[in-house]
Amino acid sequence: MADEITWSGGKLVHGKVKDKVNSKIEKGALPAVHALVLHQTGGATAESSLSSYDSGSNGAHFLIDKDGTIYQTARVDQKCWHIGAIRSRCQEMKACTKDELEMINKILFKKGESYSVRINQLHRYESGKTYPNRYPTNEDSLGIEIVGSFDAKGQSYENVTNDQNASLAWLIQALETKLSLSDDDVYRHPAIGYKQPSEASTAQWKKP
Amino acid sequence: MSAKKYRLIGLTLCLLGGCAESSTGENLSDFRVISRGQDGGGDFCSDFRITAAQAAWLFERATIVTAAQQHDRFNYLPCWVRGTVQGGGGTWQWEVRAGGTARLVAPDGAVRLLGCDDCEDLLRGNEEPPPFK
Repeated sequence: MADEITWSGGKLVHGKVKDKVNSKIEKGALPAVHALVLHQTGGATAESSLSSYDSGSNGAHFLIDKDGTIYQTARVDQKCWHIGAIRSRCQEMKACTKDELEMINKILFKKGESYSVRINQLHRYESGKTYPNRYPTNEDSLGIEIVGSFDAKGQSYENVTNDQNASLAWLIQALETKLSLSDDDVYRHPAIGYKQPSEASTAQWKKP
Repeated sequence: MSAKKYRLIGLTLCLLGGCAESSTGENLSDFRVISRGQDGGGDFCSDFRITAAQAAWLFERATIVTAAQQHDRFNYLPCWVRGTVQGGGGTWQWEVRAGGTARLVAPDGAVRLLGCDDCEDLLRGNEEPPPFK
C-alpha cells in the first residue's frame, strides 16, 4: 500500500520522507524514546541545516522544509544533541516535594555562581530523575527541526507554514504510533529548556 | 610596548569611559544602562545587573553569531539589562541577558545578535556588580 509506513534500521520508510541521515550528528545508541521535542532552525533553508550537520555538532532526527518535505537526518535509535539544559519540571508544575524544591532553590539561587553554571547544575540534578518526573533530555527523546528563520528585529521565529504543520502532524502521528507516545509527550523546545520563547510556538500538530 | 600593554591601556580607558571596540566592527562609546528586568520565571536571576563599563567590557569580548549559533551555544535566560551606546549613525540600543546572549540595534533598526563565552565573571548574581579581574 502506498500509504503504509515501514521502519528499517531506525529509518522511517515512506514516500513522504527523504533519507538524509547523517551519521555525524548521531551520538550513540538511544535505547528508549519517551518524548518528541519540536525546534525551529533559525535559518531560512533546509540546506543550511543539512550542511551544518556535517560539522558533527548539534542536530535532530527529522527536518521539515518550508514546503512540507520531511527529511530524516538521524536514525530513531540514535541520540542527537538537540535539547541542551532542561528546566525543572516539578518546579514549573508546582509539584516538587519539599526536598526537591529545597535542592532546586539551592542550585538556582547559589550566590556567586554564574547563571550558566546554575542552569547546568540544575540540568544534571533533573537528569537524575526518570521521565515523566522530569522533562525529556537528549538521552530519551527525538528532535524534529522545522525550517524557519529568526527575525532578530521582531525577536521571534517566523510562522510555521501550513505545509509544515500538515507534515508535522503526519510525522508525529507516525512516531507516536511506533513509539507508543501520546500528544502529552510532545514538547516545544522553550517549554523544557531555556530558549527563545517563540521557537516552534506556531507549530500545530494536534487533531481538532 | 607590547601588544598586551596596549590592550591593558585600552581596557583601562574603556573602563573609565565606557567604550568598546566591539566585535561588530563599530567603535562604540558612552555606554549607558537604561533599565533592567526579567521575563517570566526569572526569580533566580533577578539580581542580574551590570554597569555601563561592564557592558562595554562585555561587548568588546562578545562575538557576532547567527540565530542558530546563539540558540545552540547559549541559554536564553529571562533576566536582562538594556541600555544605549553611541556608535556609527547615532544612538544604538543594546541588551545583555544573564546567559551571555546580547543584541545590538543600530539607529537604522538593523540588529546584530551576539554571544559571549568569556563573560562568566559578569553573569552572576550580585548586589553590586563584581570588580574586574
